[in-house]
Amino acid sequence: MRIVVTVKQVPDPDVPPGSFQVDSANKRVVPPTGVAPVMNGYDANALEAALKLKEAHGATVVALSLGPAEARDVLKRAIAMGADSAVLVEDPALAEADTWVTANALAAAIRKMGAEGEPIDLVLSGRQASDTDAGQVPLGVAELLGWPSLAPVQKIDWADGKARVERMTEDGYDVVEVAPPVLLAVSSEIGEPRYPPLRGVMMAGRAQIPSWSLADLGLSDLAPRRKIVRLYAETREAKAELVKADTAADAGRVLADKLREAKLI
Amino acid sequence: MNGLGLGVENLVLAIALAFGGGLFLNRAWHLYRLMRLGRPTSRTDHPGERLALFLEHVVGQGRLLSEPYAGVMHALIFWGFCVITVMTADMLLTGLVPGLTIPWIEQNPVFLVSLETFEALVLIGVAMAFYRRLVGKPRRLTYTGDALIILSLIATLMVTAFLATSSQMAIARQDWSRWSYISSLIAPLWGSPSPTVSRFFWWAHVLTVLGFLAYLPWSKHLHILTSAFNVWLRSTAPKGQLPWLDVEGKLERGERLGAGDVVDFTWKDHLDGYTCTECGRCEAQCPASRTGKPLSPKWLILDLKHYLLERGPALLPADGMELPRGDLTAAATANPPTKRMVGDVIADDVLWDCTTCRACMEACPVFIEHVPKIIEMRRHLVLDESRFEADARRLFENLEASGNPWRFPRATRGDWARGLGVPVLGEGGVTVEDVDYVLWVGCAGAHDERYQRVMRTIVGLLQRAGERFAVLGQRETCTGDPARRAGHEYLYQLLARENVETLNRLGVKRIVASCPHCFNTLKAEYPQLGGLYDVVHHTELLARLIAEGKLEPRQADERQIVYHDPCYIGRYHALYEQPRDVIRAIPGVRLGECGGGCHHNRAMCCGAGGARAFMEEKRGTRINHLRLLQAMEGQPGAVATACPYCIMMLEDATRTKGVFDELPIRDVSELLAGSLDADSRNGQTGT
Repeated sequence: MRIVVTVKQVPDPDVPPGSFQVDSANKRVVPPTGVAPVMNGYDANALEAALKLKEAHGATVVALSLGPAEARDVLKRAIAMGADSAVLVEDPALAEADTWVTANALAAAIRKMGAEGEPIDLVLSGRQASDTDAGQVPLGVAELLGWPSLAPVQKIDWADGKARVERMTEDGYDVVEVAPPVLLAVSSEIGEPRYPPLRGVMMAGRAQIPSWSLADLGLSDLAPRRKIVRLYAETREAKAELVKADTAADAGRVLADKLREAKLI
Repeated sequence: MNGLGLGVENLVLAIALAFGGGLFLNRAWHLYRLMRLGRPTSRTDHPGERLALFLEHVVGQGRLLSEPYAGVMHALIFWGFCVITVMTADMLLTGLVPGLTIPWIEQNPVFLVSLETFEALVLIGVAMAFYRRLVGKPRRLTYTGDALIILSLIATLMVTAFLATSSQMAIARQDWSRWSYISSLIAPLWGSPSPTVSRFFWWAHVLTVLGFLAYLPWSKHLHILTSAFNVWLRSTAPKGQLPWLDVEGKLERGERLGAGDVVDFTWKDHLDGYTCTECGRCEAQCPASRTGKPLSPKWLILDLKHYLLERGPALLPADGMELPRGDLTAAATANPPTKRMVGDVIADDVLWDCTTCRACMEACPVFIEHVPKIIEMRRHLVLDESRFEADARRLFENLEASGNPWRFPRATRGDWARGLGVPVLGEGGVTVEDVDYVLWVGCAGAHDERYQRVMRTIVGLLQRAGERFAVLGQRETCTGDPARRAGHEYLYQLLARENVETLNRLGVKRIVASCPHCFNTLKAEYPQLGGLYDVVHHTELLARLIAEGKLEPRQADERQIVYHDPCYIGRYHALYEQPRDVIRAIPGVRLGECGGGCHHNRAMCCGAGGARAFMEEKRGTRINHLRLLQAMEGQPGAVATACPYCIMMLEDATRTKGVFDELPIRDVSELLAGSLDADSRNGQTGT
């Protein structure tokens, strides 16, 4: 079995939101300085799921990320946790990547991996990333690959060359049996990611992580489709207005009119 | 004795001696070979220091006598045996070869008087021991038949010695007989006994000695042979310095990093096991044991000893005369145990319960080293097995991500000092030339709201005294103490190297630290990484500034102040009086102590040491609650201490017990600041 896990580097979600700043001119969120970025939590769950499958059934696990050179840190952490190898999709043109560009680049990278080595059976992704919380990339990747996908997933078993998957629903879960290749977008219910063992950390320190550019992936004219109109921090205002009237009954009428005006009743 | 050279009796004695001695040597050799399964360690440095301690604690029975009843009881038996053994050796010599004696003793008045006196005192000691085991029954002892057998043997030895000497005296009185003054009193009661009676008691005595010898290495009384060595061979490293671990090297060579099997401990660790007498002084002092947790330092040592006896033989060379040699890891791996040392014999919970407070090690009369063993096994859990609770994991991840245990952004580390005008070393042209020392802030001083107030108070005091100091600001990171004591040596070394590099690059030589854990790591552990600094604790500095007249406490504080000793300045660095001196300098103060004698080196930990501050206390009752109750026995108007984690734990306890408003928990510096003039109360929060 060959499993690809997509991992994204995100700003540390445990940092108080107030320490982030919004650069509205460049339409960017600026994380606080001196806080090391981390592996997206759901991606870590996905990696844990892959490692459990590897331990139970034997598998090769490849971690795949897209981002700047610093994103190597999360790939090293993936190797430290137990991934066999890692690939970084890195290209100056990806600086402004949106979910469309990202999904295309990741799908192309997965295709390239499948073409150059053993076929890929499973792609495991986190259900969404904690920085944007969009949750679009995994399903986009599956669509572009022409694979089935399931999201969000809370349990994965492997038997007779098929995945038996628990997909979470509003009031429970569905059990779905699916033949590979398939993409599964994993939720935290699947289990706590492991702390990287020291031997893994040492190995990761020495690991060579290849970087693939868009040209390597055969993608030349990939343009973002998302347009940010305005980026701003939400402000909340509270206003209080005292209703004045001669009698309580009048006050009630005035209040009702105002609430109707505000379309609250 | 027939006086005609070697006879039947001599021959019988020789055979008995060979038999008893042979049994003894056979077992002793086996134990020695097992001990040598341990890794090498050098324990022969500082002979002068070793001798001084040997005289105090072996010859002088120092630690034993800290408990009057048990101490006197043991000292009587110990000193008695020292004298009586000379007589026993003399008896065996004469018994083997008639006429052969140890020179000068048989007729020496001083020796004979001492001998009889000590024989009587040993009997008193044994009687005290019987009373204690059968009637008094203190909880810390383990009640086994073994102890009673040994006590009976000792009593038999003394009684037969008196009976043999006195009956012999009744047969033939000598000039020097009067010096054996007790036997002289008994002798007339014999009338005129037949020589057989005297020989009977002589043989009873000698055979008991030989039986005792053969039984010794099977019993806890093995300590009479090992404790003198164990005290001599104790570690002379600074108390707060854990053994260095070559993480990269060991990984490179594929070796285990912590102690997961008997071959991973040192031979001295195994000698510790042989030396344990099951007295339980460690358990009686252990905060985990006292609050009903699975950890008992006594049982930890005994379980490891029993494990060595059980597991070890499979790893010994086939040739019974050969000692184990070289790296035994391969042999241990090829021959895996049926029960794992860590996990099956020593449960994980037991290891995580330890606060590394060192109370066990301070209490142990024979200097057994419990804490380093626990850390070695934690290293095994963390580095070899990656097995630890979620709390420990969060601690490690937070330290990795942010350099503090709570994951505050690194960039905010200097924020506590805003507006205080404290120079930051390396910023705004401030160099070490401009200051006398660096004030080490620590994670609690930088990020914990309560301890930030203490830090501001300390800064105010130093500024008032006209001290020239700077801080490191954002360049400071966690010293690594919680990582190291939780067994994550790799993470510790990462953090510590970062700090040592910063300090050395800036040329820092002198440091004042307020957190005792930072203080200990900077002072005792950074030398292992080439960080050599002159480190003082803030209470030492404050005591000096008061003595020099630079700080003058004037405002009276009429309360009874009970001082709680933080382990890492108290037991680890013997800073008992400096913090108390600061409190005593405040006019009107009455200094009190925690109840039950739990102060100074017997102070009980608050529960936060050994990275416990960052892990939930799930087992037993709460250590901090018990500690607060001990403090409250001292009738305090306020409790003073000198450690951020002690403050957190004790304040937390006052909240739970509903006495938060009545019983303030204060750093010593806060009490001092409250006693200076009103204008000096910089950032201080009321007393």
